[in-house]
Amino acid sequence: MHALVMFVLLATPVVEPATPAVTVENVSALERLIAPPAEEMRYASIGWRQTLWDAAKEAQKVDKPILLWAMNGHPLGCV
Amino acid sequence: MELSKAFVPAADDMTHLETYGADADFFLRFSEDGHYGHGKGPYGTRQGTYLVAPSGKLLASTNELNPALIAQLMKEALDAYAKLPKDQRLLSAKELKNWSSSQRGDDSEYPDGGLVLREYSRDLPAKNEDPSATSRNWNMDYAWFTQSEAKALVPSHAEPGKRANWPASQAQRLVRFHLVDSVNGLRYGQKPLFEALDVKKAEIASIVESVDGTRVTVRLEGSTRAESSKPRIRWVETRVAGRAVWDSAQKRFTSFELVAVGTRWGGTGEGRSYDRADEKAPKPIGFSFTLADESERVPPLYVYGYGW
Repeated sequence: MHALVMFVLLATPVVEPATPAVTVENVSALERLIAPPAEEMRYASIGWRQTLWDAAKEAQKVDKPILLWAMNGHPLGCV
Repeated sequence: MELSKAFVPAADDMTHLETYGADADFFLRFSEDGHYGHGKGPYGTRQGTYLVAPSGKLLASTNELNPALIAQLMKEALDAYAKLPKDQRLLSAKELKNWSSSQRGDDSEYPDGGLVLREYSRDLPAKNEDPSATSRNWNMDYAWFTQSEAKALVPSHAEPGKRANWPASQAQRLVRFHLVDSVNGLRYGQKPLFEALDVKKAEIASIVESVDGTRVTVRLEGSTRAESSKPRIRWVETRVAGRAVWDSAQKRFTSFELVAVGTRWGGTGEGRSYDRADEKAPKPIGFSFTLADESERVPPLYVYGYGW
């Protein structure tokens, strides 16, 4: 039994995160680690209407074509 | 970026555009002429970039990610649009009248006056890995709480040291629908990764640090675990920390920062590229939640599971 326990313990993968401890003092540092840098979010500054419906009504009024970005999941959310 | 100003740009969810509503009808009509029309897309998808006149006449479309190609298509679409007579560019008065009385089919309701959080998720480096090797992959989502749900996150009689455990509904929502491994992409069919019974621990609390007039500053702390054995053993376990400010006069949070960091293990085994099939051990993962701007109104991926 002792050998079996030792085998299980040795076989179980162990992960030790390199991240700082999760405390309120480290929240900002952890946010910077997790959130994307500004240059990766430039696409969000294009001024996307958040539904095709809103864009279509507006495009009709201003006589402009629509540029639609459609994905499984909302492109501005979880995809 | 400059080229996009000649268009009205829109981003939208295929899941909605392929179901019901006047906008879904509109989309299906022009996408049938596009790159994935007539069921040509992998798994029947129609995702991609579409350039279309308000009349519904398709000008160009692609599912390529090459920016140069998309820019070229945009220029060609503008040329084509300029050459169209008005009755082919725009809806007729009759069609517009029908449209105006139509509704976008949508069953999600933005929680005006509530708490709307912007979420990011990302794989984090393990101890024996180069810290700068943080995964390039990240995903995002939004988490919604109504005004009454948000108020319940703060102790009712705020004084330093007072503690409020998050109601089960709000804590479990976070664990089941947001502290999930979608870093490499959402699950096929947008199915939830965890069911209600998979939530093994959802303990998050707000502790009052200070009170300044109507502003109550709370420290957030807790731990979570969601675990499933279907179709394979997989789990996400985190420790939670953060700080937020509740304004009792405005009845809303004016500041909110929360992170959840821990480990994840296993995928669903559905064979997709995002499924973690090659991994041999649990890995670190991190989530962050901050206040979204009022202009950010994209529904959470799993809002339909909120039970509203």
